[in-house]
Amino acid sequence: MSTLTFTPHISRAAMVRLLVIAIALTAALVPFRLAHAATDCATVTDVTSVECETLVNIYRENNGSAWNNSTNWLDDDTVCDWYGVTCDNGHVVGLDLSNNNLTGTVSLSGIGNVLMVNLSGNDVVRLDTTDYLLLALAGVAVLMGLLLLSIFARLRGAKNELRMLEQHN
Amino acid sequence: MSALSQTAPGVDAASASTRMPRRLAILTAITIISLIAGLVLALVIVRPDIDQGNVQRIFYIHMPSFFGAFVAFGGAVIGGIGYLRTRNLRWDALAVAGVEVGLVFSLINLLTGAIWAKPTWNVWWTWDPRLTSAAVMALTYAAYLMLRNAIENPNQRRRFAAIYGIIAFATVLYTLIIIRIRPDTIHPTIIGASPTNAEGTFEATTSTAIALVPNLFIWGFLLPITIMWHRIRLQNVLERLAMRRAEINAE
Repeated sequence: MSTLTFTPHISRAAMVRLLVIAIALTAALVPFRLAHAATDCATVTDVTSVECETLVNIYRENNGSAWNNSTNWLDDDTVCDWYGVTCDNGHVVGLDLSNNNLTGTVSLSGIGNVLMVNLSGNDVVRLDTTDYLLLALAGVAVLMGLLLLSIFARLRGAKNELRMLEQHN
Repeated sequence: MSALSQTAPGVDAASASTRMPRRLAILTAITIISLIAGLVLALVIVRPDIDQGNVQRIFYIHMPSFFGAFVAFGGAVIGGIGYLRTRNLRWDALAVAGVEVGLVFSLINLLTGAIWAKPTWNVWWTWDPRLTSAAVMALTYAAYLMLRNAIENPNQRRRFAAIYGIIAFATVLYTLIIIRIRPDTIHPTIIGASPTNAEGTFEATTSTAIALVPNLFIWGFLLPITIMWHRIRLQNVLERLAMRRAEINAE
């Protein structure tokens, strides 16, 4: 009685191709995994997770691996030990990354308690303050509008009354 | 009629004309065009500050608006002195116009400063010497308007207001120089050295000057002068109206 056996046939060339793809995928994912492996903002306790995510984003979006000094950044879960980060009472209150070879855009919208930020000496632009500019422009428009409205509305009223009095005469 | 007309020199047919003078119409057009051009320079042409981002653009209105208040309050001093010397109502109109316009410019200065402070100092307001003196200045001139409304006798009102307006200018001078004489202020100085505690300074580059110089002229001179002229026209019409009412009552 013969035994029926099934042997999948994969050519050597196909196996090589699969191996190359697997190696390439792994190589592509390693840096990503390394960047995330050490810092999990969900488990960070010294600052809020939102503040942690904001700092991680600053690192990622400003070429963090090329910074002159990135001591402890994304290496552990103690955010307050990261270079340039100052904390107080469970919040990030200062960020000094001056002259540190940052390139890109920095958004601090997740850090509400930061007292002073120093990003001078880098090729970066802070983008999170546009809302404040728009708020200021709206305020200026309202104040100036009220002044002009007050002057011209009173002028119109006074002219009308004066015209009526002169007609009365 | 005679009592009031004697107290109202300066309100003649020419000054109280209800038609807008041609020169004022031209000045208004120039001011509007300049204002738009200045805003384009400050908000579009100049790059955002590398450290503060777009919020730094507030500076191009914040600082010039203080000088606008300075010019307007200065007009109130000139108007006050002129009225006390001549009792001519044109000077009183200049004084009240200067205070009203200057007060709005100082409120713009305070508001824009507070909004800039939030992302830079992380507070809307702090009792810093410069901020406090600016607030005292605005409140002092707000009290001027209350004083004017509180006195019924027109002559007494104008005289008291003139004296008050001259004395109140001390708060403007104090606010102007305080960042030079109080080292503990955190308010930055852009022109000249900042106090040692200053936070939020930025480098005044050629690019900064391109937006600052025109806006300083527009917000610090052109805009307050134009609005004050319109306000003076209003005051002249109001005085003429008061005279007409008195004439009718006398008849």
